Amino acid sequence: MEKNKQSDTYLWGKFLEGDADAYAKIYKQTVQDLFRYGLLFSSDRELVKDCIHDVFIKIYANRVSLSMTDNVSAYLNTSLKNTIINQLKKNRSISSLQEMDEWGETGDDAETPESSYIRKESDGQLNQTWQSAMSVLSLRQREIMYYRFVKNLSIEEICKITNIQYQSVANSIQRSLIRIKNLIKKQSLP
Amino acid sequence: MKFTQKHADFSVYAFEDFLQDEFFIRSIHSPNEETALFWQDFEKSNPANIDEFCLAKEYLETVKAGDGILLGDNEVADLWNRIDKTNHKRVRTRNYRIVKWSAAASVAAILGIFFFMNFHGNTKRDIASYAVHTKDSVSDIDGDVLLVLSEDNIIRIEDKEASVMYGEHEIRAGKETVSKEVDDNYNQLIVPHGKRSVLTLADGSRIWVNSGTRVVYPSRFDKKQREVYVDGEAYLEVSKDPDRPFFVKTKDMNVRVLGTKFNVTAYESETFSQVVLAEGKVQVQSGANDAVILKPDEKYAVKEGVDAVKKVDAGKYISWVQGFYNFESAGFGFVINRLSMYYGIDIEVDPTLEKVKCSGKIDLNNPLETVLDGLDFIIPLSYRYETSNATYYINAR
Repeated sequence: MEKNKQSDTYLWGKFLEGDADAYAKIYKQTVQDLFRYGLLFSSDRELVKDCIHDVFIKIYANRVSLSMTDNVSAYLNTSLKNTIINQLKKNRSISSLQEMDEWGETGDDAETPESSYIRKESDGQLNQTWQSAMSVLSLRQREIMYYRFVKNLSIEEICKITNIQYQSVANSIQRSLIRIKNLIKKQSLP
Repeated sequence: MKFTQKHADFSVYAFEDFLQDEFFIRSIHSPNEETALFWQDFEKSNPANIDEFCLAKEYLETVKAGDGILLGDNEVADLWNRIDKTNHKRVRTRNYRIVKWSAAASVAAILGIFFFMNFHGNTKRDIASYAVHTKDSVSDIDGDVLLVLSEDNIIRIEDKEASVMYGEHEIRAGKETVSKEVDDNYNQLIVPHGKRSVLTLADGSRIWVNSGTRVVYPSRFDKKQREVYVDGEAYLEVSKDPDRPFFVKTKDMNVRVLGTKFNVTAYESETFSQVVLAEGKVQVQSGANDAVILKPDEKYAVKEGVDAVKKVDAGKYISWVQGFYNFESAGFGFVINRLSMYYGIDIEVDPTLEKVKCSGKIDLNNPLETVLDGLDFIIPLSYRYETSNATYYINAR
Protein backbone atom coordinates (compact mmCIF):
# COMPACT_ATOMS: atom_id res chain seq x y z
CA MET A 1 0.00 0.00 0.00
CA GLU A 2 2.75 2.40 0.96
CA LYS A 3 4.75 1.70 -2.13
CA ASN A 4 2.27 2.86 -4.71
CA LYS A 5 1.25 5.81 -2.61
CA GLN A 6 0.77 8.72 -4.96
CA SER A 7 2.12 12.08 -3.99
CA ASP A 8 -0.25 14.30 -2.06
CA THR A 9 0.36 17.14 -4.48
CA TYR A 10 -0.55 15.04 -7.50
CA LEU A 11 -3.74 13.85 -5.81
CA TRP A 12 -4.59 17.37 -4.76
CA GLY A 13 -4.42 18.44 -8.41
CA LYS A 14 -6.68 15.57 -9.47
CA PHE A 15 -9.05 16.41 -6.66
CA LEU A 16 -9.30 20.04 -7.77
CA GLU A 17 -10.18 18.75 -11.24
CA GLY A 18 -13.11 16.94 -9.67
CA ASP A 19 -11.70 13.43 -9.27
CA ALA A 20 -13.66 11.77 -6.44
CA ASP A 21 -11.15 8.93 -6.15
CA ALA A 22 -8.36 11.40 -5.53
CA TYR A 23 -10.41 12.94 -2.74
CA ALA A 24 -10.84 9.53 -1.11
CA LYS A 25 -7.14 8.79 -1.50
CA ILE A 26 -6.15 12.10 0.08
CA TYR A 27 -8.30 11.19 3.04
CA LYS A 28 -6.82 7.74 3.27
CA GLN A 29 -3.24 8.98 3.05
CA THR A 30 -3.51 11.86 5.45
CA VAL A 31 -6.08 10.92 8.06
CA GLN A 32 -3.74 9.26 10.57
CA ASP A 33 -1.25 12.11 10.43
CA LEU A 34 -4.01 14.65 10.71
CA PHE A 35 -5.55 12.85 13.63
CA ARG A 36 -2.27 12.73 15.45
CA TYR A 37 -1.66 16.38 14.77
CA GLY A 38 -5.17 17.24 15.94
CA LEU A 39 -4.56 15.47 19.23
CA LEU A 40 -1.96 18.13 19.99
CA PHE A 41 -4.76 20.61 20.49
CA SER A 42 -7.35 18.47 22.15
CA SER A 43 -7.14 15.10 23.81
CA ASP A 44 -10.78 14.52 22.92
CA ARG A 45 -10.58 11.94 20.12
CA GLU A 46 -14.18 12.42 19.08
CA LEU A 47 -13.80 16.15 18.82
CA VAL A 48 -10.69 15.73 16.67
CA LYS A 49 -12.56 13.32 14.43
CA ASP A 50 -15.46 15.75 14.13
CA CYS A 51 -13.05 18.46 13.13
CA ILE A 52 -11.34 16.24 10.51
CA HIS A 53 -14.82 15.59 9.15
CA ASP A 54 -15.40 19.33 8.89
CA VAL A 55 -12.07 19.99 7.21
CA PHE A 56 -12.85 17.42 4.52
CA ILE A 57 -16.36 18.76 4.04
CA LYS A 58 -14.97 22.26 3.71
CA ILE A 59 -12.39 21.40 1.08
CA TYR A 60 -14.97 19.39 -0.84
CA ALA A 61 -17.45 22.24 -0.83
CA ASN A 62 -14.79 24.76 -1.85
CA ARG A 63 -12.85 22.60 -4.29
CA VAL A 64 -13.62 24.93 -7.19
CA SER A 65 -12.07 27.91 -5.49
CA LEU A 66 -9.13 26.15 -3.84
CA SER A 67 -5.70 26.58 -5.34
CA MET A 68 -2.77 24.27 -5.92
CA THR A 69 -0.46 23.76 -3.01
CA ASP A 70 2.84 21.96 -2.82
CA ASN A 71 2.32 21.10 0.81
CA VAL A 72 -1.05 19.43 1.20
CA SER A 73 -0.42 18.12 4.66
CA ALA A 74 0.61 21.55 5.96
CA TYR A 75 -2.54 23.00 4.43
CA LEU A 76 -4.73 20.37 6.02
CA ASN A 77 -2.92 20.67 9.36
CA THR A 78 -3.51 24.40 9.50
CA SER A 79 -7.18 24.00 8.60
CA LEU A 80 -7.58 21.35 11.25
CA LYS A 81 -5.82 23.38 13.89
CA ASN A 82 -8.05 26.40 13.22
CA THR A 83 -11.16 24.24 13.22
CA ILE A 84 -10.25 22.65 16.53
CA ILE A 85 -9.33 25.92 18.18
CA ASN A 86 -12.56 27.54 17.00
CA GLN A 87 -14.46 24.60 18.33
CA LEU A 88 -12.71 24.72 21.70
CA LYS A 89 -13.42 28.43 21.92
CA LYS A 90 -17.10 27.72 21.43
CA ASN A 91 -17.16 24.95 23.98
CA ARG A 92 -15.15 26.61 26.68
CA SER A 93 -15.42 29.50 29.04
CA ILE A 94 -13.42 32.65 28.43
CA SER A 95 -11.10 32.02 31.35
CA SER A 96 -9.85 28.67 30.06
CA LEU A 97 -9.39 30.25 26.67
CA GLN A 98 -6.90 32.72 28.04
CA GLU A 99 -4.87 29.87 29.42
CA MET A 100 -4.83 28.30 26.01
CA ASP A 101 -3.24 31.28 24.35
CA GLU A 102 -0.68 29.20 22.57
CA TRP A 103 1.70 31.82 21.27
CA GLY A 104 1.58 34.15 24.27
CA GLU A 105 4.72 35.13 26.15
CA THR A 106 3.93 32.85 29.03
CA GLY A 107 2.59 30.08 26.81
CA ASP A 108 5.58 27.91 27.37
CA ASP A 109 4.95 27.52 31.03
CA ALA A 110 1.18 27.70 31.18
CA GLU A 111 -0.58 24.49 31.96
CA THR A 112 -3.65 23.84 29.86
CA PRO A 113 -6.93 22.81 31.43
CA GLU A 114 -6.67 19.42 29.81
CA SER A 115 -3.18 18.82 31.02
CA SER A 116 -4.16 19.23 34.64
CA TYR A 117 -7.19 17.06 34.04
CA ILE A 118 -5.30 14.26 32.39
CA ARG A 119 -2.63 14.40 35.01
CA LYS A 120 -5.17 13.89 37.73
CA GLU A 121 -6.79 11.10 35.82
CA SER A 122 -3.61 9.18 35.20
CA ASP A 123 -2.18 9.68 38.68
CA GLY A 124 -0.82 6.51 40.14
CA GLN A 125 -0.69 4.54 36.93
CA LEU A 126 2.19 4.29 34.59
CA ASN A 127 1.04 5.72 31.34
CA GLN A 128 3.88 6.66 29.11
CA THR A 129 2.06 7.22 25.91
CA TRP A 130 2.87 10.19 23.81
CA GLN A 131 -0.58 11.47 24.59
CA SER A 132 -0.15 11.74 28.32
CA ALA A 133 3.40 12.95 28.01
CA MET A 134 2.12 15.72 25.74
CA SER A 135 -0.45 16.78 28.28
CA VAL A 136 2.12 18.52 30.46
CA LEU A 137 3.17 20.78 27.61
CA SER A 138 1.77 24.02 26.30
CA LEU A 139 0.20 23.97 22.86
CA ARG A 140 3.25 25.62 21.40
CA GLN A 141 5.57 23.07 22.95
CA ARG A 142 3.39 20.22 21.76
CA GLU A 143 3.54 21.38 18.20
CA ILE A 144 7.27 21.77 18.24
CA MET A 145 7.71 18.36 19.84
CA TYR A 146 5.41 16.87 17.22
CA TYR A 147 7.49 18.26 14.38
CA ARG A 148 10.74 17.27 16.04
CA PHE A 149 9.99 13.72 17.14
CA VAL A 150 6.97 12.52 15.17
CA LYS A 151 7.73 14.18 11.85
CA ASN A 152 11.47 14.01 12.50
CA LEU A 153 12.10 17.54 11.24
CA SER A 154 15.26 19.46 11.96
CA ILE A 155 15.20 22.58 14.11
CA GLU A 156 15.77 24.70 11.00
CA GLU A 157 12.73 23.19 9.31
CA ILE A 158 10.61 23.75 12.41
CA CYS A 159 11.69 27.41 12.46
CA LYS A 160 10.41 27.81 8.91
CA ILE A 161 7.06 26.19 9.59
CA THR A 162 6.34 27.92 12.87
CA ASN A 163 8.07 31.24 12.20
CA ILE A 164 9.93 30.98 15.47
CA GLN A 165 13.62 31.70 15.95
CA TYR A 166 16.14 28.90 16.16
CA GLN A 167 17.09 29.53 19.78
CA SER A 168 13.46 29.64 20.89
CA VAL A 169 12.71 26.31 19.24
CA ALA A 170 15.81 24.73 20.78
CA ASN A 171 14.93 26.09 24.22
CA SER A 172 11.37 24.92 23.87
CA ILE A 173 12.51 21.38 23.10
CA GLN A 174 14.90 21.38 26.05
CA ARG A 175 12.19 22.56 28.46
CA SER A 176 9.62 20.14 27.06
CA LEU A 177 11.93 17.18 27.48
CA ILE A 178 12.63 18.04 31.09
CA ARG A 179 8.92 18.32 31.79
CA ILE A 180 8.23 14.99 30.17
CA LYS A 181 11.07 13.36 32.08
CA ASN A 182 9.68 14.67 35.35
CA LEU A 183 6.25 13.38 34.48
CA ILE A 184 7.48 9.94 33.55
CA LYS A 185 9.66 9.67 36.64
CA LYS A 186 6.81 10.80 38.86
CA GLN A 187 4.53 8.21 37.30
CA SER A 188 7.11 5.46 37.67
CA LEU A 189 7.25 5.89 41.45
CA PRO A 190 5.47 3.18 43.37
CA MET B 1 35.51 4.64 15.77
CA LYS B 2 34.39 7.88 14.38
CA PHE B 3 31.24 7.81 16.47
CA THR B 4 32.93 6.81 19.71
CA GLN B 5 35.28 9.70 19.45
CA LYS B 6 32.60 12.12 18.53
CA HIS B 7 30.26 11.00 21.31
CA ALA B 8 32.73 10.14 24.05
CA ASP B 9 30.58 11.94 26.60
CA PHE B 10 27.37 9.85 26.22
CA SER B 11 27.92 8.39 29.68
CA VAL B 12 27.11 11.74 31.26
CA TYR B 13 24.02 12.36 29.13
CA ALA B 14 20.62 12.83 30.72
CA PHE B 15 17.25 11.91 29.14
CA GLU B 16 16.90 15.32 27.55
CA ASP B 17 20.48 15.32 26.27
CA PHE B 18 20.00 12.07 24.40
CA LEU B 19 16.83 13.38 22.83
CA GLN B 20 18.65 16.44 21.57
CA ASP B 21 21.43 14.44 20.03
CA GLU B 22 21.22 13.93 16.27
CA PHE B 23 23.08 10.63 16.31
CA PHE B 24 20.86 9.18 19.02
CA ILE B 25 17.65 10.24 17.27
CA ARG B 26 18.89 8.94 13.96
CA SER B 27 19.76 5.62 15.59
CA ILE B 28 16.16 5.14 16.68
CA HIS B 29 14.42 6.53 13.61
CA SER B 30 16.56 4.75 11.05
CA PRO B 31 18.77 2.22 12.80
CA ASN B 32 21.49 0.35 10.95
CA GLU B 33 24.14 -2.20 11.87
CA GLU B 34 26.60 0.47 12.86
CA THR B 35 24.27 2.30 15.21
CA ALA B 36 22.95 -0.94 16.71
CA LEU B 37 26.52 -2.07 17.50
CA PHE B 38 27.44 1.30 18.92
CA TRP B 39 24.56 1.34 21.41
CA GLN B 40 25.08 -2.30 22.29
CA ASP B 41 28.63 -1.45 23.27
CA PHE B 42 27.39 1.55 25.14
CA GLU B 43 24.97 -0.53 27.20
CA LYS B 44 27.62 -3.18 27.89
CA SER B 45 29.96 -0.55 29.29
CA ASN B 46 27.60 -0.22 32.28
CA PRO B 47 27.26 3.55 32.23
CA ALA B 48 25.89 5.25 35.32
CA ASN B 49 23.19 6.91 33.23
CA ILE B 50 21.75 3.67 31.82
CA ASP B 51 18.30 4.55 33.20
CA GLU B 52 18.27 7.88 31.43
CA PHE B 53 19.35 6.18 28.23
CA CYS B 54 16.63 3.52 28.42
CA LEU B 55 13.98 6.09 29.20
CA ALA B 56 14.99 8.25 26.24
CA LYS B 57 15.04 5.25 23.93
CA GLU B 58 11.67 4.02 25.10
CA TYR B 59 10.18 7.47 24.81
CA LEU B 60 11.37 7.98 21.27
CA GLU B 61 10.22 4.54 20.20
CA THR B 62 6.77 5.09 21.69
CA VAL B 63 6.47 8.42 19.97
CA LYS B 64 7.62 6.99 16.68
CA ALA B 65 5.08 4.16 16.78
CA GLY B 66 2.21 6.37 17.88
CA ASP B 67 1.17 3.53 20.17
CA GLY B 68 -2.42 3.57 21.24
CA ILE B 69 -3.30 6.91 19.77
CA LEU B 70 -3.79 6.28 16.09
CA LEU B 71 -7.24 5.69 14.65
CA GLY B 72 -8.41 2.11 14.39
CA ASP B 73 -9.39 0.77 10.97
CA ASN B 74 -13.04 0.99 11.95
CA GLU B 75 -12.65 4.59 13.01
CA VAL B 76 -10.99 5.46 9.71
CA ALA B 77 -13.84 3.76 7.84
CA ASP B 78 -16.60 5.29 9.97
CA LEU B 79 -15.18 8.76 9.64
CA TRP B 80 -14.96 8.38 5.87
CA ASN B 81 -18.54 7.21 5.72
CA ARG B 82 -19.61 10.29 7.64
CA ILE B 83 -17.67 12.56 5.31
CA ASP B 84 -19.02 10.85 2.22
CA LYS B 85 -22.56 10.97 3.51
CA THR B 86 -22.36 14.65 4.41
CA ASN B 87 -20.94 15.50 0.99
CA HIS B 88 -23.72 13.70 -0.76
CA LYS B 89 -26.38 15.30 1.32
CA ARG B 90 -24.75 18.69 0.80
CA VAL B 91 -25.76 19.58 4.30
CA ARG B 92 -23.31 21.47 6.40
CA THR B 93 -23.96 21.01 10.06
CA ARG B 94 -22.36 23.44 12.41
CA ASN B 95 -23.70 21.71 15.45
CA TYR B 96 -21.02 19.20 16.28
CA ARG B 97 -21.63 16.05 18.27
CA ILE B 98 -25.35 15.51 18.41
CA VAL B 99 -26.44 15.84 14.82
CA LYS B 100 -23.51 14.09 13.32
CA TRP B 101 -23.30 11.25 15.74
CA SER B 102 -26.83 10.06 15.38
CA ALA B 103 -26.40 10.04 11.63
CA ALA B 104 -22.95 8.59 11.79
CA ALA B 105 -23.91 5.70 13.99
CA SER B 106 -26.54 4.41 11.61
CA VAL B 107 -24.58 5.09 8.47
CA ALA B 108 -21.50 3.45 9.86
CA ALA B 109 -23.44 0.35 10.73
CA ILE B 110 -24.89 0.02 7.27
CA LEU B 111 -21.97 1.07 5.17
CA GLY B 112 -19.12 -0.39 7.14
CA ILE B 113 -18.78 -3.52 5.10
CA PHE B 114 -19.17 -1.89 1.72
CA PHE B 115 -16.79 0.82 2.63
CA PHE B 116 -14.05 -1.67 3.16
CA MET B 117 -14.76 -3.43 -0.07
CA ASN B 118 -14.41 -0.19 -1.97
CA PHE B 119 -11.77 1.42 0.07
CA HIS B 120 -9.26 -1.31 0.49
CA GLY B 121 -8.90 -2.25 -3.08
CA ASN B 122 -9.24 0.82 -5.16
CA THR B 123 -9.73 -1.67 -7.87
CA LYS B 124 -12.49 -4.03 -6.86
CA ARG B 125 -11.60 -7.44 -5.59
CA ASP B 126 -11.01 -9.99 -8.32
CA ILE B 127 -14.23 -11.86 -9.08
CA ALA B 128 -12.67 -15.32 -8.95
CA SER B 129 -11.07 -14.77 -5.57
CA TYR B 130 -14.31 -13.28 -4.29
CA ALA B 131 -16.19 -16.33 -5.54
CA VAL B 132 -13.76 -18.71 -3.86
CA HIS B 133 -13.91 -16.83 -0.58
CA THR B 134 -17.67 -16.72 -0.44
CA LYS B 135 -18.11 -20.31 -1.57
CA ASP B 136 -19.49 -21.67 1.67
CA SER B 137 -20.86 -18.46 3.12
CA VAL B 138 -24.38 -19.39 2.02
CA SER B 139 -24.98 -22.97 2.93
CA ASP B 140 -28.66 -23.49 2.26
CA ILE B 141 -27.85 -25.25 -0.99
CA ASP B 142 -30.62 -27.83 -0.92
CA GLY B 143 -33.54 -25.50 -0.46
CA ASP B 144 -34.65 -22.60 -2.59
CA VAL B 145 -32.93 -20.50 -5.19
CA LEU B 146 -31.08 -17.71 -3.38
CA LEU B 147 -30.27 -14.29 -4.74
CA VAL B 148 -27.51 -12.84 -2.58
CA LEU B 149 -27.37 -9.06 -2.93
CA SER B 150 -25.17 -8.57 0.12
CA GLU B 151 -24.30 -10.40 3.29
CA ASP B 152 -27.53 -9.42 4.92
CA ASN B 153 -29.76 -9.01 1.93
CA ILE B 154 -30.60 -12.46 0.64
CA ILE B 155 -33.74 -13.11 -1.37
CA ARG B 156 -35.28 -16.56 -1.39
CA ILE B 157 -37.14 -17.59 -4.54
CA GLU B 158 -39.41 -20.58 -4.16
CA ASP B 159 -40.18 -21.13 -7.87
CA LYS B 160 -38.78 -24.27 -9.47
CA GLU B 161 -37.77 -22.27 -12.54
CA ALA B 162 -36.87 -18.93 -11.03
CA SER B 163 -36.49 -15.81 -13.11
CA VAL B 164 -34.25 -12.99 -11.99
CA MET B 165 -34.06 -9.80 -13.96
CA TYR B 166 -31.81 -6.79 -13.43
CA GLY B 167 -33.37 -3.53 -14.53
CA GLU B 168 -31.97 -0.04 -14.48
CA HIS B 169 -32.88 0.64 -10.87
CA GLU B 170 -34.56 -2.49 -9.59
CA ILE B 171 -34.27 -6.23 -9.59
CA ARG B 172 -37.20 -8.55 -10.25
CA ALA B 173 -36.67 -11.82 -8.44
CA GLY B 174 -39.57 -14.23 -8.87
CA LYS B 175 -42.60 -12.33 -7.62
CA GLU B 176 -40.57 -9.79 -5.68
CA THR B 177 -39.13 -6.48 -6.82
CA VAL B 178 -36.27 -4.92 -4.91
CA SER B 179 -34.34 -1.75 -5.57
CA LYS B 180 -30.72 -2.07 -6.58
CA GLU B 181 -28.05 -1.44 -4.00
CA VAL B 182 -26.02 1.64 -4.75
CA ASP B 183 -22.73 0.06 -3.82
CA ASP B 184 -20.59 -1.72 -6.32
CA ASN B 185 -20.35 -5.19 -4.96
CA TYR B 186 -20.81 -8.70 -6.19
CA ASN B 187 -24.17 -10.42 -6.28
CA GLN B 188 -24.69 -14.15 -6.41
CA LEU B 189 -27.39 -16.43 -7.71
CA ILE B 190 -27.31 -19.80 -6.05
CA VAL B 191 -29.42 -22.51 -7.70
CA PRO B 192 -29.70 -25.72 -5.68
CA HIS B 193 -30.26 -29.21 -6.98
CA GLY B 194 -33.71 -29.66 -8.42
CA LYS B 195 -34.03 -26.00 -9.48
CA ARG B 196 -33.16 -23.87 -12.48
CA SER B 197 -33.05 -20.13 -13.06
CA VAL B 198 -32.88 -17.62 -15.83
CA LEU B 199 -30.85 -14.57 -14.98
CA THR B 200 -31.17 -11.46 -17.12
CA LEU B 201 -28.43 -8.94 -16.49
CA ALA B 202 -28.72 -5.19 -16.89
CA ASP B 203 -26.85 -5.27 -20.22
CA GLY B 204 -29.49 -7.62 -21.64
CA SER B 205 -27.33 -10.75 -21.50
CA ARG B 206 -29.20 -13.84 -20.33
CA ILE B 207 -27.84 -16.73 -18.35
CA TRP B 208 -29.73 -20.01 -17.95
CA VAL B 209 -28.44 -21.44 -14.71
CA ASN B 210 -28.63 -25.19 -14.26
CA SER B 211 -29.10 -27.16 -11.05
CA GLY B 212 -26.40 -27.03 -8.39
CA THR B 213 -24.82 -23.92 -9.84
CA ARG B 214 -23.63 -20.65 -8.43
CA VAL B 215 -23.15 -17.54 -10.55
CA VAL B 216 -21.27 -14.50 -9.23
CA TYR B 217 -21.47 -11.16 -11.01
CA PRO B 218 -21.08 -7.49 -10.16
CA SER B 219 -24.24 -5.61 -9.23
CA ARG B 220 -23.31 -3.29 -12.07
CA PHE B 221 -20.80 -3.98 -14.83
CA ASP B 222 -18.00 -1.50 -15.04
CA LYS B 223 -17.20 0.62 -18.05
CA LYS B 224 -14.38 -1.48 -19.44
CA GLN B 225 -15.56 -5.05 -19.17
CA ARG B 226 -18.27 -7.45 -18.10
CA GLU B 227 -17.31 -10.37 -15.90
CA VAL B 228 -19.19 -13.29 -14.35
CA TYR B 229 -18.03 -16.33 -12.45
CA VAL B 230 -19.69 -19.73 -12.89
CA ASP B 231 -19.40 -22.73 -10.59
CA GLY B 232 -21.60 -25.34 -12.24
CA GLU B 233 -23.40 -25.25 -15.55
CA ALA B 234 -24.82 -22.31 -17.43
CA TYR B 235 -25.92 -21.47 -20.94
CA LEU B 236 -25.25 -17.88 -21.90
CA GLU B 237 -26.59 -15.56 -24.54
CA VAL B 238 -24.36 -12.54 -24.35
CA SER B 239 -25.54 -9.28 -25.84
CA LYS B 240 -23.10 -7.52 -28.14
CA ASP B 241 -21.13 -4.61 -26.78
CA PRO B 242 -17.80 -4.14 -28.60
CA ASP B 243 -16.58 -1.66 -25.99
CA ARG B 244 -17.10 -4.02 -23.09
CA PRO B 245 -15.91 -7.58 -23.69
CA PHE B 246 -17.65 -10.25 -21.65
CA PHE B 247 -15.64 -12.74 -19.60
CA VAL B 248 -16.82 -15.94 -18.00
CA LYS B 249 -14.48 -17.21 -15.34
CA THR B 250 -14.59 -20.66 -13.82
CA LYS B 251 -12.37 -22.66 -11.51
CA ASP B 252 -9.95 -23.33 -14.35
CA MET B 253 -11.05 -21.46 -17.47
CA ASN B 254 -11.27 -17.91 -18.64
CA VAL B 255 -13.71 -17.51 -21.54
CA ARG B 256 -13.58 -14.30 -23.49
CA VAL B 257 -16.86 -13.79 -25.26
CA LEU B 258 -17.18 -11.92 -28.47
CA GLY B 259 -21.03 -11.65 -28.58
CA THR B 260 -22.54 -15.07 -28.69
CA LYS B 261 -24.41 -18.15 -27.38
CA PHE B 262 -22.60 -20.90 -25.54
CA ASN B 263 -22.71 -23.39 -22.72
CA VAL B 264 -20.24 -23.59 -19.83
CA THR B 265 -19.87 -26.62 -17.58
CA ALA B 266 -17.43 -26.22 -14.73
CA TYR B 267 -18.52 -27.66 -11.42
CA GLU B 268 -15.90 -27.04 -8.78
CA SER B 269 -16.66 -30.52 -7.48
CA GLU B 270 -15.77 -32.16 -10.81
CA THR B 271 -12.37 -32.58 -12.45
CA PHE B 272 -13.35 -31.57 -15.96
CA SER B 273 -14.67 -28.35 -17.47
CA GLN B 274 -16.01 -27.59 -20.89
CA VAL B 275 -17.32 -24.87 -23.15
CA VAL B 276 -19.60 -25.60 -26.08
CA LEU B 277 -20.22 -22.85 -28.59
CA ALA B 278 -23.59 -22.56 -30.32
CA GLU B 279 -23.21 -19.27 -32.12
CA GLY B 280 -20.62 -16.50 -32.55
CA LYS B 281 -17.10 -16.65 -31.21
CA VAL B 282 -15.40 -17.24 -27.87
CA GLN B 283 -11.81 -17.40 -26.75
CA VAL B 284 -10.99 -19.89 -24.01
CA GLN B 285 -7.88 -20.03 -21.92
CA SER B 286 -7.09 -22.48 -19.18
CA GLY B 287 -4.09 -22.94 -16.93
CA ALA B 288 -0.82 -22.88 -18.86
CA ASN B 289 -2.48 -23.72 -22.18
CA ASP B 290 -2.57 -21.31 -25.09
CA ALA B 291 -5.80 -19.44 -25.69
CA VAL B 292 -8.08 -21.17 -28.20
CA ILE B 293 -10.75 -19.56 -30.35
CA LEU B 294 -13.81 -21.75 -30.77
CA LYS B 295 -16.05 -21.94 -33.80
CA PRO B 296 -19.74 -22.85 -33.55
CA ASP B 297 -20.37 -26.52 -32.80
CA GLU B 298 -17.00 -26.94 -31.21
CA LYS B 299 -16.36 -28.14 -27.69
CA TYR B 300 -13.40 -27.10 -25.61
CA ALA B 301 -12.73 -29.46 -22.74
CA VAL B 302 -10.06 -29.42 -20.07
CA LYS B 303 -9.29 -32.13 -17.58
CA GLU B 304 -6.42 -31.98 -15.10
CA GLY B 305 -4.75 -29.22 -17.06
CA VAL B 306 -4.90 -30.92 -20.47
CA ASP B 307 -7.19 -29.29 -23.01
CA ALA B 308 -8.73 -30.45 -26.29
CA VAL B 309 -11.12 -29.13 -28.93
CA LYS B 310 -13.68 -31.41 -30.56
CA LYS B 311 -16.43 -31.03 -33.14
CA VAL B 312 -19.87 -31.64 -31.56
CA ASP B 313 -23.56 -30.96 -32.01
CA ALA B 314 -23.91 -27.97 -29.75
CA GLY B 315 -27.68 -28.32 -29.56
CA LYS B 316 -27.28 -31.47 -27.52
CA TYR B 317 -25.32 -29.64 -24.85
CA ILE B 318 -27.78 -26.80 -24.61
CA SER B 319 -30.99 -28.78 -24.68
CA TRP B 320 -31.35 -28.70 -20.87
CA VAL B 321 -32.44 -25.11 -21.29
CA GLN B 322 -35.51 -26.38 -23.12
CA GLY B 323 -36.08 -29.12 -20.60
CA PHE B 324 -34.35 -32.20 -21.95
CA TYR B 325 -30.95 -33.79 -21.78
CA ASN B 326 -29.30 -35.17 -24.86
CA PHE B 327 -26.48 -37.53 -24.14
CA GLU B 328 -24.11 -39.02 -26.65
CA SER B 329 -22.03 -41.98 -25.52
CA ALA B 330 -21.94 -40.61 -22.02
CA GLY B 331 -21.07 -42.78 -19.05
CA PHE B 332 -24.16 -43.97 -17.22
CA GLY B 333 -22.70 -42.68 -13.96
CA PHE B 334 -22.44 -39.21 -15.49
CA VAL B 335 -26.01 -39.34 -16.78
CA ILE B 336 -27.32 -40.32 -13.37
CA ASN B 337 -25.25 -37.61 -11.72
CA ARG B 338 -26.84 -34.99 -13.98
CA LEU B 339 -30.32 -36.33 -13.32
CA SER B 340 -29.66 -36.36 -9.59
CA MET B 341 -28.67 -32.69 -9.70
CA TYR B 342 -31.49 -31.69 -11.99
CA TYR B 343 -34.17 -33.34 -9.90
CA GLY B 344 -32.49 -32.61 -6.62
CA ILE B 345 -32.79 -36.24 -5.53
CA ASP B 346 -29.97 -38.53 -4.40
CA ILE B 347 -29.37 -41.50 -6.68
CA GLU B 348 -26.86 -44.27 -6.01
CA VAL B 349 -25.62 -46.36 -8.92
CA ASP B 350 -24.17 -49.85 -8.85
CA PRO B 351 -20.45 -49.37 -9.72
CA THR B 352 -20.65 -52.01 -12.41
CA LEU B 353 -23.05 -49.77 -14.36
CA GLU B 354 -21.15 -46.52 -14.01
CA LYS B 355 -18.92 -46.88 -17.04
CA VAL B 356 -21.62 -48.20 -19.39
CA LYS B 357 -21.96 -45.83 -22.35
CA CYS B 358 -25.35 -44.59 -23.35
CA SER B 359 -26.88 -42.15 -25.81
CA GLY B 360 -30.34 -40.69 -26.03
CA LYS B 361 -32.75 -37.94 -25.15
CA ILE B 362 -34.36 -37.53 -21.74
CA ASP B 363 -37.42 -35.37 -21.27
CA LEU B 364 -36.86 -33.53 -18.02
CA ASN B 365 -40.48 -32.50 -17.70
CA ASN B 366 -41.31 -36.08 -16.73
CA PRO B 367 -41.09 -37.21 -13.13
CA LEU B 368 -37.82 -38.95 -12.24
CA GLU B 369 -39.43 -42.40 -12.06
CA THR B 370 -40.72 -42.09 -15.63
CA VAL B 371 -37.21 -41.19 -16.71
CA LEU B 372 -35.75 -44.18 -14.87
CA ASP B 373 -38.37 -46.47 -16.42
CA GLY B 374 -37.29 -45.13 -19.81
CA LEU B 375 -33.63 -45.81 -19.09
CA ASP B 376 -34.59 -49.37 -18.27
CA PHE B 377 -35.18 -49.87 -22.00
CA ILE B 378 -31.55 -49.05 -22.83
CA ILE B 379 -29.73 -50.50 -19.87
CA PRO B 380 -30.82 -53.57 -17.97
CA LEU B 381 -31.43 -52.06 -14.54
CA SER B 382 -33.72 -52.16 -11.60
CA TYR B 383 -34.27 -49.42 -9.06
CA ARG B 384 -35.82 -49.03 -5.66
CA TYR B 385 -36.57 -46.01 -3.54
CA GLU B 386 -35.43 -45.97 0.06
CA THR B 387 -37.68 -43.65 2.05
CA SER B 388 -35.45 -43.59 5.13
CA ASN B 389 -32.75 -41.58 3.34
CA ALA B 390 -34.77 -40.40 0.31
CA THR B 391 -32.42 -42.10 -2.12
CA TYR B 392 -32.92 -44.13 -5.30
CA TYR B 393 -30.72 -47.20 -5.68
CA ILE B 394 -30.01 -48.46 -9.19
CA ASN B 395 -28.68 -51.97 -9.69
CA ALA B 396 -27.84 -54.14 -12.66
CA ARG B 397 -30.59 -56.54 -13.55
